[in-house]
Amino acid sequence: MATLTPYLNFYGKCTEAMNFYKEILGGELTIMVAGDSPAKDHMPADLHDQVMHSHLKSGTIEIMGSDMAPTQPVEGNTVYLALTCRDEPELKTLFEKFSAGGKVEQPLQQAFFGWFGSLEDRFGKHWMFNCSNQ
Amino acid sequence: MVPIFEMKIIYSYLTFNGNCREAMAFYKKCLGGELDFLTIGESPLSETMPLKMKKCILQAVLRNGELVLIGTDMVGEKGILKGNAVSLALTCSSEEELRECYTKLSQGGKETYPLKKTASNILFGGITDKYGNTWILNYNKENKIKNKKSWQH
Repeated sequence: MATLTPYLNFYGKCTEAMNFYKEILGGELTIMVAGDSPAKDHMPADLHDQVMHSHLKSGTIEIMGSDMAPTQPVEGNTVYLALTCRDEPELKTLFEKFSAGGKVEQPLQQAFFGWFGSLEDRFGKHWMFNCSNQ
Repeated sequence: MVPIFEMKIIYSYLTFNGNCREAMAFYKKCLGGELDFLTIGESPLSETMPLKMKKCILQAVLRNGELVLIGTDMVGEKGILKGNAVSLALTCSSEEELRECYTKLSQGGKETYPLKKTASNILFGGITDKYGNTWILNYNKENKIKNKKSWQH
C-alpha cells in the first residue's frame, strides 16, 4: 500500500527551512539542488541553486520539501502538519523550538484528549502538536 | 481521537468547511482503508458547543496500513485560507496502484501535472482534487527493488 508524507513548497527557502526542521527534529536530511539533478540542462542557470527535492527522515518522522512548484505557490492554512509527541515534556520543547520566529495560534493547553497547541512557523507552515494525557 | 503512538510522528491534517465527512469518504474511495469519525456531538465538547455544530466532524481518521490521513471541520479564528504550498505526497508501491489512485483522486479535480515518467524513470503526477487539496503521486520501480522510498535520490 501507498504511504503518505507531507510535501512542503518553499520559494527559495527550502534549504533554510529543512535545516531548521532538522535542527529541531534531528535525523538525516538529503537535499538535491536543480544543478545536481538529471533535469539540470532543462533549467535556467539562475535556478540551479534551488532545491529540486529534499527529504528529512528522523525515526518515524518524515517530511519532504522543494523550491519547485508547477504553479505559483499560495500559503494556506487548511493542511496542518500534526506532530504527535510521546509525552508532555517533549511536546513543550518541540512547541517552543518550532515557534521561534513564528506565530503561536493556540497556546499549549490540556483538552479532554490530551495536550494540544498550534502555530504558524517562520516559513508560513502550520503545525499542531499533541500528546495523550498521561 | 488523534492516533497516539509510542513514537513521535507527523500526520497530514486537513481542515474542511463543514464537508469533512463527504471529503474523507471520497478519500476512502480513492485510497481504501478504514475511516472513523468523531462528531462534536459524540465528544466531551458536546455540551459547550452550539446545537448546529453537533453534526460537524471533530476528527476523522483514515488508515490504510501505514497511510494515515486526518480531517476536521473545526476551523480556526482566521477562517479557511486555501493554499497550495503543502501537498500530500503519495508514494505508491506499484504502477497500477499509482494509476488507480491518480484516476480516482482527479475525479472532479484538476490535473496539475499529468502522469509521466521522468528522466530518471520515476512515474510522477500532480492533482488538485475537488476539495482543493494538492496531491503528488510517485512510483519508482528501481527504488522499490532496492527497498528504498521512491522519492529518495
